[in-house]
Amino acid sequence: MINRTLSDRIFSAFNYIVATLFTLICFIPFYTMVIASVTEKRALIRFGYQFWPSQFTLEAYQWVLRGQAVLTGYAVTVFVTLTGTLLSLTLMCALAYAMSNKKFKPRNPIAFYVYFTMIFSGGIIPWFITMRAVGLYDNIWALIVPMLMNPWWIFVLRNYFNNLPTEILESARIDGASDLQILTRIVLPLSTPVLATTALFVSVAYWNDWWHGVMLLDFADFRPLQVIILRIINNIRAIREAMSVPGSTITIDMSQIPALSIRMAIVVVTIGPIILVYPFVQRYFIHGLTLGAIKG
Amino acid sequence: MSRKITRRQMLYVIGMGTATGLVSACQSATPTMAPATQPPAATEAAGATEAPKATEAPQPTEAPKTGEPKVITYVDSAGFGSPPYRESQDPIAKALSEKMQSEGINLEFRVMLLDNPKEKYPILYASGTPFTWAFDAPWYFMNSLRDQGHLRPLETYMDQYPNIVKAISQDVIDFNYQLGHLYGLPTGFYVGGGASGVVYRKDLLDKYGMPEPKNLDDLELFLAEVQKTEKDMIPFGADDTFNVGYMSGPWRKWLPKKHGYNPGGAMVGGGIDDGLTNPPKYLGSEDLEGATVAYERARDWYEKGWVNKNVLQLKVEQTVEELFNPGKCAALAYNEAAMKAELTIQPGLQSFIPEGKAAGFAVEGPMEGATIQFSILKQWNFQVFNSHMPEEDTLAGLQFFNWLLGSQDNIDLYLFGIDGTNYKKLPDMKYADIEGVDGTTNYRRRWYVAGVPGQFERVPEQATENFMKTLAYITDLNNYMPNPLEKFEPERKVKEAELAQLTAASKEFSLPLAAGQVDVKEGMDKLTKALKDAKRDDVMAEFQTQLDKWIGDNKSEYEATLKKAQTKYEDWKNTKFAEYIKAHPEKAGTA
Repeated sequence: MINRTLSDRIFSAFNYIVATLFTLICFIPFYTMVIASVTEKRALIRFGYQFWPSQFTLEAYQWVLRGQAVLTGYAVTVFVTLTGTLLSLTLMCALAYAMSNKKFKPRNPIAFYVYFTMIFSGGIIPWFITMRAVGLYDNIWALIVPMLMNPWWIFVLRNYFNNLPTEILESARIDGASDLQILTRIVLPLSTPVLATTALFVSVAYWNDWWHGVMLLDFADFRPLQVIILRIINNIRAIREAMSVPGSTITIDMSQIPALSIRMAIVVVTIGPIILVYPFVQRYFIHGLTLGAIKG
Repeated sequence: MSRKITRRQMLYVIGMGTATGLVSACQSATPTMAPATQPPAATEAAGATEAPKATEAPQPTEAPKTGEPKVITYVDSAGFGSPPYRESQDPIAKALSEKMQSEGINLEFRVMLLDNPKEKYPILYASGTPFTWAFDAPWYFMNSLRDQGHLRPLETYMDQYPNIVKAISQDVIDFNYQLGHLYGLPTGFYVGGGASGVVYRKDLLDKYGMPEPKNLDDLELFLAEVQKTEKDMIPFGADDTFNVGYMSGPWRKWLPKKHGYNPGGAMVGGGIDDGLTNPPKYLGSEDLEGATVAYERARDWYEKGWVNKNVLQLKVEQTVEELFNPGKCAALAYNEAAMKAELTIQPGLQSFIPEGKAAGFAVEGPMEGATIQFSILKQWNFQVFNSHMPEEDTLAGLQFFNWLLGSQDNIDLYLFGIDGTNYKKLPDMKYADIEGVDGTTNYRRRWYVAGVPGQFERVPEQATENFMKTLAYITDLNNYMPNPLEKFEPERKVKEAELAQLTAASKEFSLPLAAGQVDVKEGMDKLTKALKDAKRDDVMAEFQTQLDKWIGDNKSEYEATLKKAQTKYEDWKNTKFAEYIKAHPEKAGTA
């Protein structure tokens, strides 16, 4: 048994206190948000944020989830996230494998091409024109294709593939395996950590993306969840602001709309699935932070 | 028989395939504002808001009466409470199209909904996205889009669309030329201001047995009583816009005598001292009549503890919902207070305080005869047409408006939706909401963003007598003086950088003054110094030069209008104002 000195114990106690405080600092906003989302609107305005709801209600959730829009939005977002992540991983792995293969002569120009897009972009108007010109407008692919290739993750994948033992790859080649076979049967199975990390980051990006929906969907009768949420918030805000505009005769009783708790409920609804998945994949997240940092 | 591909071939295939995908990786990293495009094309002489020149108007191309209808697309560029949902908008768009087509106008109306209009709307022009028209305004993107050539001038078409001219009125059209052209259909209605004021708790007033306040002096008595009686209540709730410094009008020993004006709202930190004086002169804000009156009142009320401390952290809707409705404050400044207190604010107050009663009054007291103001024919809001579309598209859009403004039924459908589903039509241009219909998703389009002059919008059934009286007053030109300078608008581009600096300086130093949080003299000195450092005097000199030139170019029209305004002022002084002074002898001789 290890004898711990008093100073060790004090140091440990101090660490625990700091860690606990830090945990609370992270946890309390989430907790407050959830409590505010189930607090009656008038109580929330009158008493502000509370530790426990003085008047419990699920009214805000009823507002957010009423009608088909949010459910449709969920379906769209789940489809986009799953399809986008799968396609994105497939394409990025293929490119990263090509770029990691030392016998592939154009790998450096291609790597430069990929790197170039990390530094420079065409600007929003040329981007918008290009998207429309290639048909990425008012359809589901407008939410998927623009985010398929992420230069950062391509380099992370390439670096990981570079670090795999070349002996294994060479022996597979001697045994007559094609590049496709090497990629699918040897490289990818050996790269589970990087694939999991990349998949997680890519899927979070797809899940949270609202911008492509805003920019590339005009007349489509579907929207991703994040855009539907944005609409709910924008609509309520617009009505509130319009009430004081000269000439407006808006007669909506805003006190019946739980604007503040709706905002909180919306956050809960949108981040809920990610929060649930997170504990299972967080070790990949941490691992992901150091990926690609060792070898350039 | 299959042929095995070589490793090199396979790698090329992968490389080429992914390169295609990479094109899409050239996405903009951050969703930022569209970069400023080219500088404005050389336009006509500064401030040239002349009447239209007599030119040959092209014949409007009639939309085809048979075959496929021509699609016209409206960009809902700033919702203002129009529900941004396809299920709200599409049935009405369909009904409008069907009604048009049944009346021989072969157009199909559709609405483009923008979820992030401030970012996307200007991009639509720059990217060549097809659409017919949009809502816009000089305070929105209109000026820059106009300077970049994205808006189609409409003046040559107006003669062909009599319903538009009749509804908007020739006067309003004439006053809304910019740089010699009509860049959009103005949405006219109100011809004067003076309706801004204060909403207060009438139930408390009745409890104290006090008479209804008609001016800021009366209000002060009420606020003092609130402070004395209601220990947990802030007498006056204020925010970053509607605060004590925002209110103008007679107060204690002060009564405005001059008629200041800031053409086009262009000058920051100054304005024309008196529009009735010839020649008119730009002065710095510290030299304008009553420059510090509102700030002194703000400071006075703040020091007395009548105002909330977090003025600059609040927006008006928060002041209403978080202070006034729950009974945390007894009064607040509000637009069209006399009209909206009972209509807009009362339901919210009553949901917290069942016995609560909201009422309002106009602080400037024009209806009482305390002041008279210039009429306002220059409008805030426009329907602008996309110049990148073929001319026939603009003509189809104008044809839509001509059809729309030709019948109250059409307007009702456009503004309120379907009778019985979205609203209930009532006699005397009133309407009722339908029980159980959700107001946040129910179709509604506000007249001031829809291109429909306000007199064609029905008023809610619960509109009070006070509401109707105020509405009648502010829509009657006879109650106001014509503004001899209203057609002048300075060209800001020449001093764009200075104006940006002035705006920043003004915000930084005038907001604490308006909130009453700084000593008036000290605050004014700092404000004046900041404005001078931001080259305010250079901008004023430039605008003065432009103004002098404009007056020289439009001498006869200016002098004729000035004479009419002076005559109107004298009439008012000898009648309504004389009666006001008789009723308020304490104001006689004040200045």
